Amino acid sequence: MPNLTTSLNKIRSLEELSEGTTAIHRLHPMAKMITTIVYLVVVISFDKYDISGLIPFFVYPILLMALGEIPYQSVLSRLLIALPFSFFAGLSNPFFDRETAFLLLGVPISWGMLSFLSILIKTVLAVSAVLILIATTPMDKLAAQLIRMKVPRIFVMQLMLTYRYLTLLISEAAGMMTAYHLRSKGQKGIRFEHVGTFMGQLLLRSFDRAERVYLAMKCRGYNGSYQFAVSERMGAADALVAAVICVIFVLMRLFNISRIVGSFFG
Amino acid sequence: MIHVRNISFSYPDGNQALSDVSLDIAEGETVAVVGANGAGKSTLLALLVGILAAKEGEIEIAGIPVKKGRLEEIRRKVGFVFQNPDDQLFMARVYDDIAFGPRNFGFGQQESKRMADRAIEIMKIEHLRDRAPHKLSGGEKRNVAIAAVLAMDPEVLLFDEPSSYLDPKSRRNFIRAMEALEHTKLIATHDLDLVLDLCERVVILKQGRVFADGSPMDVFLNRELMEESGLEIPLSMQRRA
Repeated sequence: MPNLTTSLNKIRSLEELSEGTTAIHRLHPMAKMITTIVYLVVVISFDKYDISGLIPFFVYPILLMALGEIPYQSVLSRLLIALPFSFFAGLSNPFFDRETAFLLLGVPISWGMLSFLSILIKTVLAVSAVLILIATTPMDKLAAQLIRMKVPRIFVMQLMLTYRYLTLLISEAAGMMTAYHLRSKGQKGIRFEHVGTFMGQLLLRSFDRAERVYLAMKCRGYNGSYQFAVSERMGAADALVAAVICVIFVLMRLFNISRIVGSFFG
Repeated sequence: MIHVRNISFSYPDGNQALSDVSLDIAEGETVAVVGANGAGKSTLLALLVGILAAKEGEIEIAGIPVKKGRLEEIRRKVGFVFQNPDDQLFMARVYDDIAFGPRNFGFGQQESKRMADRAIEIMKIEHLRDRAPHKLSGGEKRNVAIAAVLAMDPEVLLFDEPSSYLDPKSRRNFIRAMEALEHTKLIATHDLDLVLDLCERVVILKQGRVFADGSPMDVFLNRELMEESGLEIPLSMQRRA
């Protein structure tokens, strides 16, 4: 139960950051969204062995966290949730791709190790970029910009409803777990034979709530296509900032900064 | 304003929720519907806005017969405030929730904004405008939910248990806000003290039938009648009874 409540608070703490007033927060949501997307594409497009090219991209999340006054613990702790996925996805690489790439202080480093490492680095970069976007931009503004980018309304609506009801689902589950624990003597977690009914209950309750929410929407004239508010356009200054950052990303993709910096010392 | 003629309704599981209910409510009246759990209060409200469809009888609300094909008109003129505001506030920002109705009914951006602004002003919730609904207190959520309904400029307001989830102070504020609204109001509730404060007429349902209909003072002081319908005389009246 404490775990659930803690994660509920975690979700809220990240979105509370989005109400800040730093220069990053004030940047138009569209500008932030475009730069984040370009950043993701550029980072992912790197060759699986090209670690030196990826390293300079750490500048972006570090700089944004500093400028946006985002505590690094809040981003790092969420990164830990995403990392295991790519860790296990990439784990087999060092075993299959065992040819030595180079020697590091006499220790042979295989190509597989390199590609494994690059998967982890890409995960860290991509996830932190998205977390920073969420920590600096309120959800409703992001949704409005998604509409402007011609993302189908049904997906945006789905995203918004999931976001809205996630906290309610968690607090419902937390309430059920408290009730469960109060009547189960000194036991940790939910007994295996009860997991099914517990999840089933939660699902049924979600169905009921979905039904009531849908009725509430219908009572206010919802007929399948909601007219979102027209969002403000991006100003010239914000567009320029976004363009400059994107160009820098592309240049960083085309020229290996690490190698250039290294050549000064070589 | 609301005319209910010989309505009967049973749920698919065979539970007979309403049988032969007739009711007339005049324009501007504030009427409470009370009754024990399962007496049919919520069913009656759901029938009035066409969430449920009656098999027998007729309903007319705000001058429109309740039947398929007219539901959109009805939902413009009849505001339904749900028991749990979390079911009703589904947008990420208070303002968007309040503007949800007007936007759906095809009022332009300008007009929707004007309508939402007016509802915000009536409920005095200017300070909540840009907040996220899930971070509000119970009382604030209730006020936003009412504003969301008022935004469509309805003629009739229906409330399902409006004083649930409210602390005493929020409940008092809610009563004050209700007194200021001149709409025709139908309130389904267990809160009989609220009925005394707000309603000039009370209808008691018992097992799906209208059991009593009169002024709250007369009805609530009738100890026999109250006990038969599974209710208790409100605390504030007990000494007088």
